[in-house]
Amino acid sequence: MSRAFLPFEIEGNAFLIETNRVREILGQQSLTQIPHGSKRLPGVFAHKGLAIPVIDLAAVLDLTAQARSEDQSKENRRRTIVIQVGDDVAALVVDEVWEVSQIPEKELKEVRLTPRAFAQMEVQWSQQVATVLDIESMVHACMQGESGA
Amino acid sequence: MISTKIESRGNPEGLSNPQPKHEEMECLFFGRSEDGCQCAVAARAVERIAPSSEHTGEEISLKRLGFLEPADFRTPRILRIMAGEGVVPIALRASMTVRLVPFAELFPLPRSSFVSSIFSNLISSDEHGRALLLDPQRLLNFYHTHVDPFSPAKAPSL
Repeated sequence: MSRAFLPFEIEGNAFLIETNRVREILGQQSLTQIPHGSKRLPGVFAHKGLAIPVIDLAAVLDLTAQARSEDQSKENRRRTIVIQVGDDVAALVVDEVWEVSQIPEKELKEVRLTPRAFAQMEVQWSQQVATVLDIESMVHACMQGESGA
Repeated sequence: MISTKIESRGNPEGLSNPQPKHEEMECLFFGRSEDGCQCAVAARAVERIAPSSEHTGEEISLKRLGFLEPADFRTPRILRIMAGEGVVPIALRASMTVRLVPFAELFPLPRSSFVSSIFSNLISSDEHGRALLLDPQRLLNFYHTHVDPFSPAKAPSL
């Protein structure tokens, strides 16, 4: 028994999300900042009749401080993964997206080596340890946990 | 009086009862954010633009809405926006423009707490740039809660 995951990279870290949450993969989008927004939710972009909020995973998972300047990091966010969780549609901006991977259930392990927010499981993937994200909790926390004006 | 404009472009498909091809809403654009996005309001919701002599100091500033205040010292005009029985005054030093926005350029914003509830739609057009459309009723609620010193919502509890 295996499950399908979409692997992607952000600031040199590998992550996986289940493909049943993924609607589309787009290139870099031109964002409109929302007044009084936050680094975690830097803005929205227009796509197929919706203004889709963008979640900056690097900010959510506190990955930006490890590497380049903020401007360099933004330039590297070349891919946009549109996801749907319940009625919420959101987009994750990431550095790289790879082909869908079928991962056997038995290879999914408890989180030990990559403890971080919203880590659900981890798996040895492409010669590194990748974190499987609990995308539902993350989207819920980002979309409802921020306060606007 | 400003209202929604529906324009038919003839009957190119030869249908007996063609649907309108183009629907537009007249909007007033003003202000600009750090990333070049404007603020907008449906022109039909504008009661009037009052002169600077009506400035009372109780208006919402552009800065309070999250937009830049132009760096000049002109006394602001007052953009008065109607919402039901109420009126929200916005102090404007910025210039204003009016244009028709096709409904196809209106993208509903997610109803999430991260998006300020005063905005209802993203207006996105390659030709004219982007804007955030104000929701007059939510703007009125925001005004009562955060700005209006005479609002019952701000009265001290006994």
